[in-house]
Amino acid sequence: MKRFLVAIVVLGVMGLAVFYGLTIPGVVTKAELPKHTASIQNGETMFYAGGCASCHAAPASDKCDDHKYSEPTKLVGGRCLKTPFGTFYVPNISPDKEDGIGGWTNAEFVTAMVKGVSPSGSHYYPAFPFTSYQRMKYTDLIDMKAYLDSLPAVKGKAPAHDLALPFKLRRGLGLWKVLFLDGKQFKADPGASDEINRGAYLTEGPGHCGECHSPRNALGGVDTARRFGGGAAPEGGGFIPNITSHKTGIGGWSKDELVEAFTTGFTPSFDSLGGSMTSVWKNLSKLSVEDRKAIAAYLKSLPPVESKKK
Amino acid sequence: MKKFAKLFLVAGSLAIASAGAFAEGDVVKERQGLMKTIGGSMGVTVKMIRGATPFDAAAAEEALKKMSEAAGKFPELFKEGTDMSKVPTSEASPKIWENMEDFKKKAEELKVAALKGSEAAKGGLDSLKGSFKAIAATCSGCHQAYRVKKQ
Repeated sequence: MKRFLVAIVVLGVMGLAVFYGLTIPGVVTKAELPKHTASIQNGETMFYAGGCASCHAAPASDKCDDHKYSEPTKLVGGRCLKTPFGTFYVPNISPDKEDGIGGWTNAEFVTAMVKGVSPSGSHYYPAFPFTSYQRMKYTDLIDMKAYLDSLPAVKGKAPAHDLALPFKLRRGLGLWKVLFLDGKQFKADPGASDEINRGAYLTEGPGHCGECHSPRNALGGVDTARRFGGGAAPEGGGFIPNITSHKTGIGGWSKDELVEAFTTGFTPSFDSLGGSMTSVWKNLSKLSVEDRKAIAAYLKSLPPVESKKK
Repeated sequence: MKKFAKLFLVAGSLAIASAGAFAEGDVVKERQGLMKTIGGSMGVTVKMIRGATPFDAAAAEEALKKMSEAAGKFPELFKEGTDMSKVPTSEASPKIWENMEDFKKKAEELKVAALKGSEAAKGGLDSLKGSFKAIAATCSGCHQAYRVKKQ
């Protein structure tokens, strides 16, 4: 009997040790960053490709889930995302030293973007799409930070997230990351054109298109086999459209029609893109036309996946 | 007999209720038809502005007039009980009913902007172009707040 108890305790301790080991928050150190002189101009491109304002700019009205924001460059946060896991409140990423991220080093910023870990070493929730941002080049991230630092500092802290109990335990997110955060940077496909590779980088990295336009599994990770095949909206009960070349997706759209949608928000049937996609196309419209064409070319090259609604 | 009367009542109320459900579906259909009309008018106008089709003042005027009329019908067609959670084909966010004043204001903005556009079309292509931005902004502004895609 005593032996049995000892075995239980030993197993328990081993289990805890494994949990502890697997959930240690990752970090990118200063030594891992390349020597690089930041370009604010490229940082601005990354900012609009990344759609930072869509979540981090203050809602236009007193309703925290208002899709509209008044000023894209005042990144005070406060927006709420009402999801099945609970309500997330988007933090301040303006350069304010206390309330925002003005006091962060480049290494801390890169750590947040690619490891999903805060300067104090706690895990961020994947409502912040670091699963896509991890694909970005460190130089682009350093440029993005330089651009963010050039914006106005705004005071104000968002409320704490309001989540159901098991999701409150941030340490557990380390296990989620073992499953869904592979740590791989974007690699160009040597067989594809420069345009498609640029589009792939923008779509998979900063653009984080697959975060909403893909179905998710029971654990909240993207269903990789059906990426870009459309998925349940993270909030509001709708369906985020399929953007693969299947006929249930954008198979009937030409590349020019996609560029049109990224520029004016109009679809080929002159419907106007709405919901959270409105701020997305408005951000994309600020990119160079070459970048918009590149995203369109990449989407057109995606293998067809049929939309499936559960 | 009493039983029969009860049955009759129940059947009757069910029939009325389902007729109501049909009516809700019809209202949604009518809204969606009007949205298609607006999209069609938009297509006519945008193609002229881009030079994809030759400018035709009468056609542009007509298209934008139709758009304005369609927008004018919206407020009465967004009836209680016809949001996306109640009618499966509907993509109308429940937020419309939480903010009905704002929704009506937005419909009115489109009605006015499109009417101005139809007047502007008489003055030539540049005049039409000048009126276009205000029209397009009402489309995305309203869809941003109140339309939830289902496919």
